[in-house]
Amino acid sequence: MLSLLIVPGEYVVAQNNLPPIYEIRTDTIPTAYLESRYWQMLPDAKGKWTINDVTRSPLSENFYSRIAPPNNGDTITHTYWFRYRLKSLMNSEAKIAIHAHFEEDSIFVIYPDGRRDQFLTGDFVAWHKKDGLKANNQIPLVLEPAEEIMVYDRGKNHVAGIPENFSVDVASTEKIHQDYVRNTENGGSFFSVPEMENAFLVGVLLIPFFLNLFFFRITKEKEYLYFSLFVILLAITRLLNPVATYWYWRDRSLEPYVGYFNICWILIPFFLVQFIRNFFKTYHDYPRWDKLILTLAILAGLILLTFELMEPSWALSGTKHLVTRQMIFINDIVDALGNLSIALTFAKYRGRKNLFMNLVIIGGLPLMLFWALEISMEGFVRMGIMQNFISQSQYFILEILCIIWFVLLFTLVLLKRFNRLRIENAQQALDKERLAKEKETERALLIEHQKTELAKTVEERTFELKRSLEDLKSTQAQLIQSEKMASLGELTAGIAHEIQNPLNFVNNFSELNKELITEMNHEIESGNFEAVKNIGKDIEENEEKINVHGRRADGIVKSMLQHSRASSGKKEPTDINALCDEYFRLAYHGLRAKDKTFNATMKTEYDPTIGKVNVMAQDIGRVILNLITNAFYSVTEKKRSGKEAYEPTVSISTKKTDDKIEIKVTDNGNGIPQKVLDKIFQPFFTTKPTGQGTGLGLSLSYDIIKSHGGELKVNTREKEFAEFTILLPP
Amino acid sequence: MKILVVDDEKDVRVLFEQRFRREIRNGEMRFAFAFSGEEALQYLEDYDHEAVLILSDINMPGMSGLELLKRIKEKHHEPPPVVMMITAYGDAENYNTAMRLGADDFLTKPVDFSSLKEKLKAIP
Repeated sequence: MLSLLIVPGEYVVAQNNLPPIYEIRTDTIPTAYLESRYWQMLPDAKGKWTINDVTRSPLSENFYSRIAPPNNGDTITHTYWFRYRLKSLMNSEAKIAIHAHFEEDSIFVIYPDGRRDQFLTGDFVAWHKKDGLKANNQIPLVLEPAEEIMVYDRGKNHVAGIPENFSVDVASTEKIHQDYVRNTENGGSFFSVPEMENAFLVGVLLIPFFLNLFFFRITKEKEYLYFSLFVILLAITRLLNPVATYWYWRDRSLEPYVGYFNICWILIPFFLVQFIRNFFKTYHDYPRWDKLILTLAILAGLILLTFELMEPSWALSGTKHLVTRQMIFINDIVDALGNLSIALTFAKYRGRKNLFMNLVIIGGLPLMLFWALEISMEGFVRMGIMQNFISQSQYFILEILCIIWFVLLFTLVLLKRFNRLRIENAQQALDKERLAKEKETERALLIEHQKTELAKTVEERTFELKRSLEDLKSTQAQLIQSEKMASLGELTAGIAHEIQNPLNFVNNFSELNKELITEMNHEIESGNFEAVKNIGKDIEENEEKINVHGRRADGIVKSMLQHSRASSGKKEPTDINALCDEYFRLAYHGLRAKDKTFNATMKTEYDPTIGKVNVMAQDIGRVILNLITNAFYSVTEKKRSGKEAYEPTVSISTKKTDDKIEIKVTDNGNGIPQKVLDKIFQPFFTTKPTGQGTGLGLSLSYDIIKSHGGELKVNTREKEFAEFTILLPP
Repeated sequence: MKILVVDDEKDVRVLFEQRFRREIRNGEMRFAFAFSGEEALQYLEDYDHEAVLILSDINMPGMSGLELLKRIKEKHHEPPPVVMMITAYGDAENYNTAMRLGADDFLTKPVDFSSLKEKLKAIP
């Protein structure tokens, strides 16, 4: 023990149980360690006693020396009172310093004249409250020769415990001051190399922190957030050293809170693993490994949390060791397993050509190796297998280099990644724009194409329409012609019959005349001239008949030809009565020819005063034919519907009034329903079954009468009769 | 023998009277003429059963020859007059209908008078 160097002073038996006086003979040695008999202690379990309490009875009598009771009998508490006596035996002033032995020391110096000085010092005393040499926790004192003082020291610790020894600095004040200046101003221990290294590291770590936070803000990709959190937590743990050192020198009272920085270690592995998982998408590529990594990271964090709860790391290295070596070993195992699983997961990516992966491995490997080395070395040293072969500062520098390397590389990776994302985004935007443009162009083309198509279609349609219009026109013309032909067709059979009859007469009468002539010759020969005369008269009559019937046939053929011919457009004086009769008969026989069961009563009533009227005979004939055909059709339909007492009757009459020629065709057929009455003169309107009527008859008739400056009127009652009246100017 | 000729052509009368002038003169045949089916029926009503032979055209306005045939064969039973149909339309349908309705003969126009004469003379 260094204290052996101290020459023990005169042993004075303590009065009132006071400890013997420690005599100071020199002040050139740095520290004098007081043997335990020179000082007495009094545990203050509640920490509430004052200096006045302990200097007086009864507490004053309770101070005891640590020799008397065995050590393990000491009351373990936070606050203790100590007292010792000092006396200078030097011829000159003795310059000594009392320094703190606890975190907080209240030092009371009582002089022989009863004067009392009070000082406050200690690591946990705020800088501004400290007395004496603050950085050294020393209270300098000057003792006159032979001066004797009594010192009470109230020591207080956060963790209960008693100091092993008790010392007083008795070096000369100059030396003390020199040391102090050297320590504080030359930076001896105030900010030593590790603190500066750590501060530098914190600065370095802040760069990736902000950078990645910025990236996260922009990209919203979680890996940036996790990495920045990981980095900032790492920075905080590194901040512990300089901050703690600063506070150690300036305000140790805040130090417990610095200890909280260690809590960061609970979250660091978690964020690191989260970063790795999100960056490499391990949960996508290797879900099982991913789960393992995450589980181990959480487990490591939980173990550290348990340690913190059991024995807060902010508590100064105390006497209790609740966290056992085995527990620390388990922690190390978990850490090692975590690192191993990450390394193995990375190994899985080996085959994939990934620049990022390579950079990450290059960046992360040194730190991983360093930490692995550190852990194993700690273990080996603890087990006594090997000596620590690198100093603390070398160790720090190595670690810092590794961390900076790691952070730089990772930041580079993230920067590259960010850039790539940016480029990809830009490319995507470009592609999108290009695609949009292409689509636009395509659409424009399509529209153009459609326009052309449409124009073409319109042209085609117009052409088609034109053509169909022309077709329609020609069809209409054809229809008009075919309507004529159709009515002609209706006539044909009738005509045949009508011609047959006169021809029969012609033949018959001519044969008869032949016979009569033969007979007449006989009579001439026999001289019976009276008979000859009679026969001659007969022959003449017959000749007349032949002539009549020949002309009749001739007329029929002529009218047929006329009918089939296009209208000449010439009006000729025409016997309306003859015209009516002719077509009436033609219509009748025409229908008869077509339908053997057809029959109807025909009534005629001609006004002989009409004479000849100036009309286009074949046109008017067609009108009459049409009206009569309709009338016959109507009565036939009615008869077919099966009325017993029904007598189909069609009549035609002519009449001359003051200013009009009137032709009336009447039938007692079904009449015309009111609802179609206004349509009957429209072209193509027909009530006949398809194929039986062209629907042009009445329309043409109407036009023909109009063109004659006449009128075609209809009077009808449904189910009873229909009466068409042609009114012509005379 | 009284013969009723039914035809809407009025010149038929002259024709028949000339053709059969000898028979008429001899008193072998007597002719009556009707110009429509209705007229013919009226004649048969008026001169009950006088005509033993009826020559009828088929195509006539109003009552047709076939209708007339039907009426005659329905009403005038005892003794039924001989009804010969003469028509311009010698088609099968007309022929069949006429035969079904009980026509005794079916002649087509133009009428071959010499054969008609023989047919008439053959009737007892």
